Amino acid sequence: MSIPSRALAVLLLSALGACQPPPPRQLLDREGLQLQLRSLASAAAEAGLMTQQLADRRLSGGFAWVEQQGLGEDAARAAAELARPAGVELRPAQREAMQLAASLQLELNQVAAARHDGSALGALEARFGALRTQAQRLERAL
Amino acid sequence: MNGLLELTLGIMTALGGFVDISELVFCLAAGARFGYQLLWVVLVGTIGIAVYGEMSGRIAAVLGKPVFTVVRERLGWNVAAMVLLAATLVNVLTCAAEVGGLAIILQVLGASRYQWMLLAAAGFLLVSVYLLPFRWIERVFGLLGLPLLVYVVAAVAMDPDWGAAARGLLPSAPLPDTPGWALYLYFGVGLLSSILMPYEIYFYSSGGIEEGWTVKDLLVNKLTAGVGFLLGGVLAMALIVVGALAFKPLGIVPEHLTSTLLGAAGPLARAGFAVALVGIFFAVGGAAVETALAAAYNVTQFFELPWGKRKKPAEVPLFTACWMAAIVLGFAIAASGVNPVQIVEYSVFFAVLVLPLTYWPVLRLADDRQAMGKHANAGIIRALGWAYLVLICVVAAAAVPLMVLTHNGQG
Repeated sequence: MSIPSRALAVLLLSALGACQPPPPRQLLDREGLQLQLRSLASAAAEAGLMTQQLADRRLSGGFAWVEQQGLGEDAARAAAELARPAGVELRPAQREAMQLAASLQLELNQVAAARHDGSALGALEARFGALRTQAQRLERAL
Repeated sequence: MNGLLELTLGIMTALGGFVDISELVFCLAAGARFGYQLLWVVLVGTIGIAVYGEMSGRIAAVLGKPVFTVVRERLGWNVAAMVLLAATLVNVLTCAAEVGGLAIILQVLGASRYQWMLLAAAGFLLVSVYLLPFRWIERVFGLLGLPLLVYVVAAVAMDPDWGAAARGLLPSAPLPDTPGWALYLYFGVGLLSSILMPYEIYFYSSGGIEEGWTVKDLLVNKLTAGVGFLLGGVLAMALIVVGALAFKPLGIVPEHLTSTLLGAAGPLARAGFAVALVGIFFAVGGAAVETALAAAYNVTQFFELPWGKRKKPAEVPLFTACWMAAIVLGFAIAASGVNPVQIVEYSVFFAVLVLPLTYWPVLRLADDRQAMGKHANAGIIRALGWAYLVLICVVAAAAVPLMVLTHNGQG
């Protein structure tokens, strides 16, 4: 095998290695917690935008089902990351973040079913706004 | 109308390269994170792909040689085999992502089960590529992807700060309200490498030969590359602007194909949503076709076997088997449940590693006066070609460290 071929092979394997998720024994640190809170804030904000546009009849029902599923998966992924072992000082924030993730998933599951109900969509939009604010506050406090 | 039809190779190549599933989301995310600050990267990338696209089309027209033949002749069998392996991996992964993207769009249209829609998407692609002659593949996926121009309309309708957008066309340090240098560079490298994805020039040069280009078509090649890739660049910039205006103020970092529809529906209501849906379907479908055919072109050109949609399937059995296998493998990968957007984000960074080994042979041959005669590179094209090759090498070196530093773009 020539040197350029070997170099390319090493680079490709390094890139593959860089794609791996963190091992399960890796502790959740402050940076990791902040990352997941930002992700939850983003998902909550996007959910709020979706409910607003649904209420304005800008989107289809099919879209609502697909988008709520996608955002729900984001919240579930964040919850799985948050469930890693954390230091004592981070546990209160970790607990609150996990409750936030669970609440977000619950509210997301209501969106598509409520797409014809203006007042229900309004209430969901307000709820998503509150979850987003909570996630941002928690992130800033860390 | 005839003029537009002549340009469909460039339009389809550009749409499939610039606004495939990952680029759609990546551009919106770039705008959502950094406002207008990464517009200059799209400008730089657009010029680069137009330069190398034109070069590869010129080589195809003058010498009748597609890119992968040039790669094999210039790099030797061993290195070219490694490039083939890496390029095929990128092509198949990207095809998988696009098949997943088509399935998502079909779900939005009202179907419920993702797995069935994956099957429908793969079936649609297999039938389209099998039945349609090359010229009609270009026309269907190229022209029907043009509704994506709705994002240009959306960007204008949202009344951007044109002064700030113009400043975004010049490189600048990330602003204080943005995530910082590491992510800025990650997005810059990601945007550049996705615009310069090698499958675009594999497809474009082979497409030129499929079209029967000769020396008489050099002007058509220039126009096709210029207009097509410019269109792609404008669309990518429009997506960044929409991301900056629709998502950044709300702190949304889009990660889903469906997020792009929110960007069109906001300013343009249900009509914008519907038009964007059509455009996305055919642009993503076009990318799937482009990557599947690119995989088949590469394998058959490397082994010097007959290839081409212009021939009957029975005359080019390995070529036919290869593009079908790319779509079927793409379906299988997508059916495993991996997020389509993430598949192709990883493949973009893998592609960066093989970019220098794809563009270097093209540049060397296009520069070669003995081979190309009066059609060899001259003046500004030669200078740009070398400048971009250096840039591509720098980007290739930075890609993996940036992936690690930024946790694959998460921050």
